[in-house]
Order: sequence, then structure tokens, then C-alpha cells
Amino acid sequence: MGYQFDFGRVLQGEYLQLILEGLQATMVVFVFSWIIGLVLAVALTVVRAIEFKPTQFLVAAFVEYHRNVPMLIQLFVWYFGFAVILPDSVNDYLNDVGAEIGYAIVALALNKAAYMSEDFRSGLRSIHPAQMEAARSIGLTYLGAMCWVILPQAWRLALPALLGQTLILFKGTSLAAAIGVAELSYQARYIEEQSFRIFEAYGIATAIYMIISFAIMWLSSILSKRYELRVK
Amino acid sequence: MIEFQNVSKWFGALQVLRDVNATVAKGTTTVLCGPSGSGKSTLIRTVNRLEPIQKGQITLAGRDIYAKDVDVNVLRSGIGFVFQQFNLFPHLSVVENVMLPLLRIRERSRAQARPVAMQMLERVGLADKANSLPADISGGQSQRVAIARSLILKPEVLVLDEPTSALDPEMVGEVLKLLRELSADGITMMCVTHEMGFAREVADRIWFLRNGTLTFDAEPAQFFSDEAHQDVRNFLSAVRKNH
Repeated sequence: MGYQFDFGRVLQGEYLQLILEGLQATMVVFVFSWIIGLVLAVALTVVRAIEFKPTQFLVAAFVEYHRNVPMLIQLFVWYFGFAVILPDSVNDYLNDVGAEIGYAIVALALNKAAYMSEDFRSGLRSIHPAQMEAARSIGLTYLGAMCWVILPQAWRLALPALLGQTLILFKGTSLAAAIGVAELSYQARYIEEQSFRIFEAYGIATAIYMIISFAIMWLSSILSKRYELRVK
Repeated sequence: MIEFQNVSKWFGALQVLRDVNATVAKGTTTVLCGPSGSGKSTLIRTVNRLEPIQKGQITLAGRDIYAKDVDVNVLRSGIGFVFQQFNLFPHLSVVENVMLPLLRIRERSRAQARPVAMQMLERVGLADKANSLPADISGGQSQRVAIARSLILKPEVLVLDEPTSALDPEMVGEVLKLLRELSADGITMMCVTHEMGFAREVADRIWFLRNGTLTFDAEPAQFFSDEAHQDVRNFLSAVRKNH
């Protein structure tokens, strides 16, 4: 093997700057997608829980689309598809403020909202109906029972799955490179092309992804234990 | 205090309560017994409107509980209800379970609610388990917590649906002891149970239901005598054989 490792070349100067910028973009996409996805997921769960067939159908259709179409296609639909139906003036504005990262956040957030809403729904469905009955029997209203008894249990039951989705989302941010978001994997590829330090560029990106993934898993483990719902 | 007048109820085509007429006097203990499927649990669940009735009237302190101006949540907060399976809230500690009605219905602060809940837990002998989770206490203790929770708002009536049926035999005694004390304190109590010893000792009246009909309503002395209805004697004979 004649290949000489030279991590120092990638971990200094312009390349280090690119890696840090890529990491920042990755974290921005991850954090914003997660927050928006979680809020939307709660809203979707509530809407689907209401006994009104048209809205239940719409939520179900939303979930099925996002669960059955590849993430990459969803990104392309937003970045290429949605852009062509917008007026040029809006596109110009979006391009000025960073359309790529915006569309990536929207696409990933909607995708995660679909999965997370199913996790919430699963948590809700696994609560025994007697819990609602007990809550109502002490004089709580339906909303009070949901707020103080049912939802606090539902999110605990859904927590392991939600944390799993969080990890998938973090890794999924690398797909944003396909629409030109200069996140970590995009920058690793750029550095590799410029420096020909292929192993080093992807090796460092791999190490960063692993460190953050392990941190998410470690946090998940702590949260899962802390909020575990033990039922006899 | 609680009056049932021609109370009837159907689940679909199946009639589960048939023209029940009876009265529970204030401060008394009424035990409901009868074979499975006789309508005992359904009848007591009508008292706090967990089960709606289709015919008849139920009055509590002279007031029709199904009247349009009755707020069902206010009604329920005045009637303690204890379930067979305890139904404690597993995400809350023992003391938080007992505090919940004070916090969310009476809108007391945590600082106000906690001492009251602790007093109630002392009354049921579980102050030392205040910070335990429901998953970490025994069935008998769980039921005592459920009773404490049902009493925390000082209800006029306590309704219990087979409070000892889900318990191991060695834990039945601790719950019955508590119920005896509550009965002696003068709370109005309706209790579905198969514990005939408890019924004989504590009940002021015993109701016997069969196929949704209240077939016998008597004081314990008469209920356990040869004067009792044939259905009752058959039931008691079957209970004795199974114990």
C-alpha cells in the first residue's frame, strides 16, 4: 500500500474551515427540522385523534406519502418541483436567503413529522382506555384528562421511537447535499475533490457523524431510562 | 341520598338494567352482589354517569344527576370512584396521584396540595410510599392509594367496583380494613364485592342483582337468613363452595 495518510492537511486552514462550516450547516438542518417536525407531529396526532373522517384521511395521506416515497425524491420535489410553480420574484428572494437549506429543512421536517406522528399515535393507542375513564371519574374534563393523564403517558411511551427518529434525521441531513446544501458530507466531498485526500476527508466526516450519533444515542439512553413508563 | 327510580339501561339490544328502584341512605354502606353479568358494576357506574341510562332517574341529594344543568365534571368530583384494577396513573408518584384532583380540579398549588395528600396517605397507611411509583407498590397498596385519591376531594359518596377482586388473597384484608374504617366514619358507600364476610359485617343494606334486576334488597341479617330470596340462597351456596 503506497497511500500515505495525512490528516493534518485536511485538518487545517481552508479545509478545516469548510469542515466546520459543513458541520454548522448539518446542525442547522438537523435542529430546525427536528423542532418543526416535532411540533407538526403533535399537531398531526391531535388532528388524527379527532373523529372527523376528511381530516383523518388527509393526515393519513400525508403520512403515507412521506413514509412510502424515498427521502431523496421528497427533497427533489421541494427543491426542483416546488420552485417551478413559484413566481420568479419569490424564487429570486428564496435564492438570495438560501433556498437550498430552507427546502432541505422543510422536506426533512415534513418527513419526520409523518414518522413522529405515527410514533405519538402508537403511544396514545397503547394507553389502556381505563386510564381515560379513571381521569374522567375524578372530575377532569376530556381536555384535562388528555393534558394531565393521557399525553404525559403517550410521549413517554413514544420516547424510544422518537429518539430513534432523531438519530435517523441526523444521518438523513446528509441527503441535503443532493440539492446543494453545503453540509458536512458535501464539504467532505469538496475537500476530497480538491485535495485528493479521499480517506482523510471522508474519515473525518465519518468520525464527526459517529461522535454526534453516539452523543444522541447516549442522551437517548439517559432520557429513555429517566422517563420510562413502567406499568404493572 | 341516592335514589334509583325505574333505572333501565341497554347495551345495543341487550338490556342490562331493568327498572331498578332502590335508595341508598346518607351515611350508610350498601353492598351490591350477584352473579357475573348481573349488572352490579353497570349500576354503580351510572351513579357518576360513566354509563348513561336510557330510562328512569337517579337523584343524588334530591337532584337529578342527568338534568341538563348538571355539570358532569362537578358531579364526578363529588363522587369518589374506585376501580377493580386501581387505575393509578403510572407516570405519577403515589403522592402525585393523590394530589392530582387537588391540583387540576380544585386548582390548589403544589405547596397547598401536598400536605393534604400526605395526610390522606397517612390515613390509608402509605405515607412512607409517597414518592414511590405505582409500579413499585403491591396491589393492596395500589388499591389503598386509589381509595386515597378518590377521597381527596372529600366526596359525599364513595363508589367501589370490586375493590378486592384483582388482589392476591393476602392483600384483601388490608383493603377491607380500610373500607371498614371508612364505613365507620359515616361516608355514604356503594360497594360491589363478593366478600360476603365484609358485607355481613359492614353493610347496612345488601342488594342482590340478577339479569339486571334488583331481586333482593335487605339488611345483612335478613340477607344471610333462610328468609332470603331463593336466588340469594343459591348464590351464597355457590360462593361458599368456591371459598
